[in-house]
Order: sequence, then C-alpha cells, then structure tokens
Amino acid sequence: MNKKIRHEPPRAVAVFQLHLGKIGRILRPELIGLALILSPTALMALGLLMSRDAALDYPQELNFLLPVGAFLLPFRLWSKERLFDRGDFHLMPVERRKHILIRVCAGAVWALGLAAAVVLLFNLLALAAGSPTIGTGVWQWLVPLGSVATAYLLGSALVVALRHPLRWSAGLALAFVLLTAFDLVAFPRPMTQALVSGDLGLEPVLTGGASSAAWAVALLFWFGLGLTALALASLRHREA
Amino acid sequence: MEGVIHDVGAFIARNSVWAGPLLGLMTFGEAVVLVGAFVPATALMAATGALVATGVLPLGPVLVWGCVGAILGEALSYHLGKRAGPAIWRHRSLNSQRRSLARARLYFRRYGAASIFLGRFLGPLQAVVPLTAGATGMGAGRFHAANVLSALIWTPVMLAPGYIAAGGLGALPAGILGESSPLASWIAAVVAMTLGCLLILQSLRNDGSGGILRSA
Repeated sequence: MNKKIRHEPPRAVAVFQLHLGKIGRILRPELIGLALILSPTALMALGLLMSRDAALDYPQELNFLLPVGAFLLPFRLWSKERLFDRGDFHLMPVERRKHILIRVCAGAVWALGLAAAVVLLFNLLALAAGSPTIGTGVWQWLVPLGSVATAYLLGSALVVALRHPLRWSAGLALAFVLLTAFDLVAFPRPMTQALVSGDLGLEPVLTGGASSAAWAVALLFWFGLGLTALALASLRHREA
Repeated sequence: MEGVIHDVGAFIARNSVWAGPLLGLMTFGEAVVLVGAFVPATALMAATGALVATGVLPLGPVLVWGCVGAILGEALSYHLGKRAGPAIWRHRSLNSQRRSLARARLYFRRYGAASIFLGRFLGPLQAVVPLTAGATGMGAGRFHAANVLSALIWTPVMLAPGYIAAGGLGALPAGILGESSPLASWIAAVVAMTLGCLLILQSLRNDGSGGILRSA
C-alpha cells in the first residue's frame, strides 16, 4: 500500500553541530597556519621573558586586526558553497533561510572562539611579563570580542546578500580609492567622519571609546545593524 | 509667487506650535482603515521635513506628534479588526479594498509580526495590515511592540526626503552618528538592536519546509 510518511526535518541543534564540524574542516589550513605562527612566537616571547626583564604589552593593534579577520572570514567560509545555485542549501531538508542563518551562527562560534584564544594568549604573555594587559575592567576584555562579532555579522550579510561579494567589495574599494585620489569625496566627508569617529561610529566599537557606556551604546547600534543586515540579506534565500 | 510662498512660510512659522498636533492628526488618519486612503500624509510629511530642515518648524514636537499619531492610528485599526473578527473580510464597507485585504492577509501570514513593521512602508497596506492582525487574533503585546517600534522608525524615515532635499544632508548623519545626545544614541542603539533581534528571530521561527513527504 502506498502510504505517505511525513519525515520530520532535522533539529536546529543537530544542523548547528553539523556545521560546526564542517567549518572546522574548512578552516583546517588556516588553523594549522595560525598555530604554526603563534606557537613559536609565544615560545620565543617566554624565552625572552625568562632570560631578561623584557616588557611585553598587549598589542592594541589586535583590536583592529581581529575584526578585519572576522570580516573576511565569511568570504572563506562560503567560498565553496553554491548559495545561489542548486547546492547543498537547495537540497537539504531544512528551510534554506533558516539553514543559512544556522551556518552563520556556527561560523560566529568559530570566529569568537579563535578571537578569544588569541586575546587570551597575548594577555597571558603580558601578565607573565608583568606588562599592561588589555585593561583592568571586564568590559575592556570584551571589546575585541564585540568588534569581532559585529565585523563577522557585517561580512556574513555581504556574502549572503550578493552573488559575487568579492567583486562588489573590490569594486567599492576601488571606487572609494579613485574618488579619494581625485579628491571627489569632499561631499560625504562629514558623514564618513561621523560613521568612523562619532558617538555611534565604528571607532568606539573597535577601541572601546572613552567609557564602558560609550562602548556599549556603539556596540549595540552596530551589532543591531549587523543583525538587521543579515536578516534582510537572508530574505534572498527564502523558499517560495 | 515668491511673496505667496514667503507669506505661507511666515504663517506656518507663526503657528508652528500647531504643526506637531496637525501632523499627528495626519499620521493618525493615514493609519486608520478606510480613512487612510484619503489622507495625503506621505506628501505632507516630506514637506514638513523640508520645513524642519530650513528651521521653520522644530524637529522635536514634529517627531513626537508624528510618532504618537502613527501609533494610535494603527492601534485603532487593530482594535477594529479584533472587535469585528474574521467577519470583517465580508463587511460591505471594505468592498472597495478587497484586493488590499487579500494582499495584507497573504503578507501577514507569511511575515507575521514583521509585517506590522514593513507594512507601514507599503502605502496601500499600511492601514489594512493592523486590521488583519486584529482580525486574525494576533496578541496585543506583540502587536503594540511592533507598532511602537515601527512608528519610531517610520516617522523619521518619512521626514527624511524633504529634510535631505532642503539641504540637511550634511547635518543628518552627523546628527545621528556624530554629536548626538546620550539619550538619542541609546534610543538609536536600542532600536537597531531590537529590530535586528526581531528580524533574526522571525527568520529562524518561520520554517516553511515542515518535513519531507515520502511514499512508503
């Protein structure tokens, strides 16, 4: 007898775990590279510290480098996925939009985990050397994580929204460079300045700003923008 | 002609205290079902934005009254729908709005609470979506949360074209992102965060796939 059976879709947690593993495998070369760079650096630093009284402050440049890496991470994670063609996301028994958002969440866990590990390593070295760490307040330790999460969300929104995100990003960057070279960006300069260094600009998100309140308000704003951008970008992948 | 414009401008400036309540009345009317079709609030709001940019009208009261009117208008449409229930679809006073109602029902079914947000920006559906929400029994708490948040975004967005056209472009982003007061910064941050969370939760909740049907 031809009986219809309704197969339940896999649970979101199971899909999330699947993607955690999958992303781990995708990032394996980068993780090996990072370990190869960081391990000798840490060993050399410890050796130097033991042999003489060297200072090893927490490098504040990391607060800029980590978000840049987090912004680029989605480009790597989604490079092999055929988001706009008949790839895995079209064939698996999970609603496509939800599936994409779950994968973004799994990527965020990797991004935050890696950022936390790097921040912790450099702070432990600074502590061992008796040098200044990232800061005394708990919120100062959260600054790199907040900026990494925000940058990752914005990068993911770009990758999910556009069929050719690399071309668009490169085109926009080129246009901006050309406009700057010909001094044609005088008009939006106040806007750019406000966007970068205003109360709700990117600078307080990256550096922590003047106080924990200034950082929190800027982070909330940009994190909210990132979530909104991602949700709107995922609309392109909803099932009819 | 210039004289007339000047006189009108002077008249508005003299009576600027009434601008806020009048705009509130317009936004209220636009959000009420049936009445909305006859109220040209969108064009008036663009003109108001221009008057704000030129300093004829104060920004604060205009924003507050515009928001209050928009919130109350949609709340009224929602309560009308809630009171009438699904019988409202067949009410003869809505005969001329059959197409809008059908679209609003489909739209509401697909996007849920997010349709209250987005519906405000879709002219013909603005007043019909809250009516549909009420008639289909959407919870009052969820509706009013979406109603208030969308009004907070909708009012400045509708004022923006006139404001920008009248030369406030340079001041607008600087005002929002640059030298804003702490309260305005917090409001902007909370609105951005709430909107982002609602949209993401909505995306994760709507699982249209269900299961896979297979023959056995």
